[in-house]
Amino acid sequence: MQDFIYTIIDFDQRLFLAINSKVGTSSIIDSSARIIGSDYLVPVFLSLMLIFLWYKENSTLRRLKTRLTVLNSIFTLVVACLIVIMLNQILFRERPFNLIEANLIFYAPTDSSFPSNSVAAVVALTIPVLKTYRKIGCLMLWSSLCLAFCRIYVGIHFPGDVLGGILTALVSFFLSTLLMNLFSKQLYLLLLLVEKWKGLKIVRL
Amino acid sequence: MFGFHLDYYLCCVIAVSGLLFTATANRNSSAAVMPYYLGIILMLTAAILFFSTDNRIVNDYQGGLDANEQTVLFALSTLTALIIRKLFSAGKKIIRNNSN
Repeated sequence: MQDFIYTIIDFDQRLFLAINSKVGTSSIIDSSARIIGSDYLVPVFLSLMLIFLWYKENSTLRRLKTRLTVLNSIFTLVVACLIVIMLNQILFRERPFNLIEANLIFYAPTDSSFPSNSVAAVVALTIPVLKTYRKIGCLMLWSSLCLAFCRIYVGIHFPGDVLGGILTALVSFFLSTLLMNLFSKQLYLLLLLVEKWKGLKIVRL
Repeated sequence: MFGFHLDYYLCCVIAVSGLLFTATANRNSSAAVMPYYLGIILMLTAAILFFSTDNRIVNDYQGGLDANEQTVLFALSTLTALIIRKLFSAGKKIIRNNSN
């Protein structure tokens, strides 16, 4: 069993080095990877997509359905963050830039490398949308995967961390959907309240 | 420009305003393409403005934003963009009534 784990870790490191060794070949690719892999571009883009979905539909019924998807995305994100916090309490993995051969072109994070917190968050926002709205979901998924790849490229995550982040998001989506199904009536009532209450007129288009 | 937090907030306000233009155009499904493209241009402008004015690849304890700060600032910027949009619509209505 231990040999198997070491083989996987070794493969993970070799895959990381194969991707990360391309750093320095083009300054344009390096700067783009730094921007795409940053904490701001993709998360804000995904949040904008959620706001777009929130205001997208005209008919009340379809709007409620879309808004439930947006709420599911937010719940999945919260559950994913909680799982990552719990995992970080029990295991710590060194960042890949501590390897001698690695090239770091990003800031050096100090928390555990596994699972990737940012990948877990962006994939968690994406999965519920992907399930309901294929086109927008695919756009969100591609941007999440770009962020994941860029974070390996710039030297702050192993591919295994990214995979861990995606698995975390999938588990949290499952848990969040269970919770949503349990409280579906209350959530519908809440959304109807948001829809009809005059005090919340400011948040309507 | 004005400090990391304020820059993030302002760029998010511009981006969300752009998104609201696009969302309204999409919802009305009218032939007017102007607000649609204006929205996209605003969103792109916000991203370019944010990343070109300073080094944004900074850790949260070295002046960057942590996840909580990002969430709060993004929510505030969304609210601000909605208020600006309401004021803009009210202003337009007043001007239209006065001209009639």
